[in-house]
This record gives sequence, C-alpha cells and structure tokens, in this order.
Amino acid sequence: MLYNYVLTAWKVFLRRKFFTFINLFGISLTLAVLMIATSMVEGYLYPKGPEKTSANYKVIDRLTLTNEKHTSTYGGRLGFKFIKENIWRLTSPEIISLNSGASSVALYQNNQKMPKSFRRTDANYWKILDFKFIEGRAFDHGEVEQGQFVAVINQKLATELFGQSSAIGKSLDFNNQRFQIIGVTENVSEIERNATADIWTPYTTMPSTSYQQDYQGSWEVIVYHSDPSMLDEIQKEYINMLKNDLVLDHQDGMSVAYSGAFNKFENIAYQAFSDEYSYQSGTKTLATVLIVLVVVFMLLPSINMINLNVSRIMERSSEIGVRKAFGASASQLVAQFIVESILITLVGGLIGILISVFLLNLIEQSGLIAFAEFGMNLRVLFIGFVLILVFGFISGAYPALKMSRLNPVSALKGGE
Amino acid sequence: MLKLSNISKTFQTDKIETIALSEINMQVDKGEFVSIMGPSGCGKSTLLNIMGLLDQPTEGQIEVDSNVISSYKDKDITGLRNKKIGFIFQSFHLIPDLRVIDNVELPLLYRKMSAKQRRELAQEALEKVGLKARTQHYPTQLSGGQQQRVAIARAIVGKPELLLADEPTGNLDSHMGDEIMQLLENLHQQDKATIVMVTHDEEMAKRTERTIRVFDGQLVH
Repeated sequence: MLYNYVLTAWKVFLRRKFFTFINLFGISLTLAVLMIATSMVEGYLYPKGPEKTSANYKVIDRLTLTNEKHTSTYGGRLGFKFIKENIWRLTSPEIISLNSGASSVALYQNNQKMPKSFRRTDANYWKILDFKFIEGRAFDHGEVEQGQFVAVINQKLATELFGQSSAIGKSLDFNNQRFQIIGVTENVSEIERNATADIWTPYTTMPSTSYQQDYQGSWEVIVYHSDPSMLDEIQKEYINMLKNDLVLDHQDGMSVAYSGAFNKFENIAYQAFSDEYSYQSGTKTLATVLIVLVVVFMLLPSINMINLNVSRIMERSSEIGVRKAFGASASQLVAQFIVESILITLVGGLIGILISVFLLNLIEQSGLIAFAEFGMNLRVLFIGFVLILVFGFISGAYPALKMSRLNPVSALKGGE
Repeated sequence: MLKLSNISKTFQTDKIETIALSEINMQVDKGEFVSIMGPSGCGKSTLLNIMGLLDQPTEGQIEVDSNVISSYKDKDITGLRNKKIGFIFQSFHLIPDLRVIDNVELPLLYRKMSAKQRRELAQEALEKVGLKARTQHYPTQLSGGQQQRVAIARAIVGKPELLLADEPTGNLDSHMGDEIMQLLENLHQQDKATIVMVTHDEEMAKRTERTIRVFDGQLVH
C-alpha cells in the first residue's frame, strides 16, 4: 500500500512540475535557514574547541554596581578588586579562574602591522578550558605568581611568525613588553568567546598594578565544578553573597551589586532580556521567544503549502471521488495525501540540508567568524529531520482531512 | 441482487427542498442488463448513485445481495462498494497522473492483494476491452472511446457483481458509443455481468433487456 502511495506521489510530482518546484523551493529554503540557525546555535551552545567542557562551568562576566536608589550605576565587566574581595571567597566552585577578556593588540613583523587578539589569564584557566597544545605547554601557577613574561600563541600566529620552525623559546614583542613563547595551541573559533585569542599571557604581567584597585574593569571569571549539577549551587551561593555578604568599599558610594554566573544559554538570555538590576538570566523568556520564532517561521510556509495543497487537492477532487467510489476509505485517502506531503517535504528537506551544508561551508571559508567550524553533526541532522516531518505532516494533514470528508458524488462533480 | 424499497431522496438547499426521488420500488436480478431512461433532471443519476451506495437515500431501504444497508458510515460501505460494485461514468473520470495500467489497478489497491496479482488482473481486464497495447499510455494520450474502455476495464477488474454505468456513451460520438455498447453487451452475455445503465438514448435502451423509466422522481410503468 505504502509503495503505491509513494508511486502515485512520485507520478503526481513529475506530472505537476511547477507545483512541485514551488513546493520544494519553499520547503528547502525554510529548512536551510532553520538548519543554519540551528547549527550556529549548536556551535555556540556545544563548542568543539577548548570550551567543550562548558557543561562543567559557568561564566561571570557582567556586573552592575549601583547605590540604593539607582541614581548612579556602573554596568559592565568585572574589576579585579571585586573578584578578589568577593568571588574568590566562593566555596562551592572547585576551580575559579579569571582572565582579562580578549582585547586587540598590534604586532609588528617586517614593519607590517598585524592586529591580534590578546588575553591575560591565570593558570587555572588552562585547567578549566581544554586547549589542545600543538607544542609546548601552558603557564603554571609559579609563573603567574612571579609575573614571568611567558606567552602561549595559537597555531596561525606561530605559522605567520616562524613558518614551519618551532615557536618554542622564541620571543614575542608587543605593548613594549617582550614575552617568551612556551606553548602553541590549536586555533580557537571566535564563537568560543571565553577561549578565543591569538596570544595568552599571565595576568600578572600587566604593566601597572593599578588594576588591582578597581571594582570595575574588563575581567571575566570562570567557575568550574566537575559535577555539572553543582553549577546551580554556585549561582545560588554567589547571589546570596551579593545580597547578604558583599564587600564593596566603592569611592562613589555604590553599595549594591547585581551579577550572575551563567552558562551559554543563560548568557544569550541575559544579553537579550535581563535588565541590569537583576540576578536572573531570563532563560524562560528566551526559550519562549525562540520557540515562538521557530513556530512562526515554520508556520508561514506551512500555511502556504496548506493553501497550495488544498487547491491542488480540489483540482484532484474527481480522483478523490473515483477512489471513494471504488472503495477507498477516508483514512486511506488521508494516508495517501499525508504520504505525498511528507514525501515532498522529505525531498525538499534533503535539498535544504544540502543547501545549508553548502552555505555553512561558505561561511566557514569566508572567515566572517574566525576559525569557526559549523559541522552538521547528528544532533543538528536529527533536529532537521524532525522539523521536516513536522512540516510535512502539518501541511498534509489539514487538506487531507478536508478532502476525505467530501461526499463522493460531489467530489465527482468537482467538489463543491 | 439489488432491491430498492420505498426509496425517497430530497435535497435540502437553503430554503428550497427539492424532491429528487419519491417512493421508488425496484429490483435488479442477477445477470440482468437494465437501462434507466428519463429526461434530464428526472432523478435517474441520483437513483444510480443510491444504487451504488455513493449517495444516501432520505428514506427507504436498499438490499445488496440480501444484505440490508443500514449504515452509511465510511468504514461500513467502502468495502461493499469495493467488492460488489463497479462504476462507469459519463466523463470517464480517469486519473490523468496515472498510466492506463495504474488506473485500472486502482480498485484493487483497496484490497489485500500482491502487486503481481494486481498487475495480472489489470492486464486481463484491459485485454477484455481490447486495450492490451496501451497499458503504458496516459489517459490524455487516448481517444474518448479508448478512455471509456479503460474506465470499463477499471470497473470490471475487481470482478464486481454489479456494474453501474451513468450515460457511458454520453460523451462519445455514435460510432464510439456503439463500440462501448457492444463491449457492455459482451460483458453481459459472456461474463454474465449484471449491468444497470442510465441513458437518454432510446436506441441504446432498446439493446438492453429491460428499461425502467423515470419521470419527475417516480418510476413510470
């Protein structure tokens, strides 16, 4: 039976090329866009580089300092003093790491200016994030404590500066400081916001120590626990500390701090929806908005396809009448038309997947997002496949139901 | 074979109630070739649709093979239609997207049957209507008479006990109409098919064994 449905569907598609083309075009484009979006979100939420340990950590990189009446407010990243006096007192994280965030710096080689991104970190940073070293190693606690001028660079920079020869032991000059290279890591995608950089050095090599007196700054903190379920505990402890046990001796009279330890998803939600006087990330709002967006995005072409299907099926009302007269039951007809619809979505979906693979490749090659890799992994494919089936079912079910209720006599007359 | 008792049919539109059939009593016996005649709009097609279980009478009772039809629910009558009745329509109603052979196989799709068996029966039916050579064509590639012969092959492929033909020659010129009529006569004589045919052509009606005349929704004797 199914074979016959498929066969009929195939013949109908071939005989109505224009309709088939319009349908395929709509479906494949919609799915391609959804797949690309999914793949990008996937790339952010489930990194493949050093941040692949992201299930085990949360990031604190936002801080709002204000007074009781909110008349004076600072909103931005964290100052070193705030971290030292508050975050370092947290007991629930197994590892706490800080880094300066990525900033840009100019390197010169043969009088050519090379803009590079640069990050100062502690030694814990290398324990939490899973960097793959091509040669050499990361800097350790001792080197950070002593403020040694050592640096880790990525593979691209190593090749640019030293070609095929080893970078280890070579020196690197920038910002009027000279660093000795001790390690080379793989390139890190820009999507991995807490890991990406071209150069990493100990934070203690800052030219001045004035940063140690600031509650505001450009720092970010990563809090780690080997048991992911403990991460919420860390967030709770942190918020509790901010509310009840805050150390803040601010010159401008700021006495209240809002901040939070967020994972990747919470981070998007926080950026999109949370207000600055909140400890919450607003994930529920984000999830709702995302679901609504996807539904609307799927619904529009679905409605379009329902419309196309209804008029096409009405064209085929004589066929429906004949099938009914010769013994097709309503459920068999519904099955037939849903199979047709799912089949065309399936073909459209496969084309959509091919288009998205092609476009993602194009985005990767373009260098729009440095070192980005958007794989079509099984999860993305699975999501895409589910989307396709849902799409096919929605767009086939309504017209199928509508026409299966036709009385055979009126169907044979042309379906009033 | 088929018995109609006190069959009435009224159509309800917004305000007007149209009586299409009233108090019809008739019977078709096994192996008969019966024609139904009457002016257009007299209700003869409605009568045929009711015989074919395509339409539900407002009142009255139908018996097919001594089975009283008590329910017009989809699942109760689709099987009956499939096994007992074959339809031939004035405008053929072939499915343009399907080849001749697939059109003929259509009634068998709704039976438990292997694809091979379906194909064999369809070929047999096409042979009977003299279109063995056209199995791979599409309906639009055939003449009107050929299309109607495909439709007849479709109607007989499942070996139904009753063939219902609604003006089978109405869309054809007299030569082709004659061919179709001969085909129906052969089916009747050689295969002992029971046939009920609606027509408004006196010549065609004369060639059947018995003619039922309908006027204004009633049988005329």
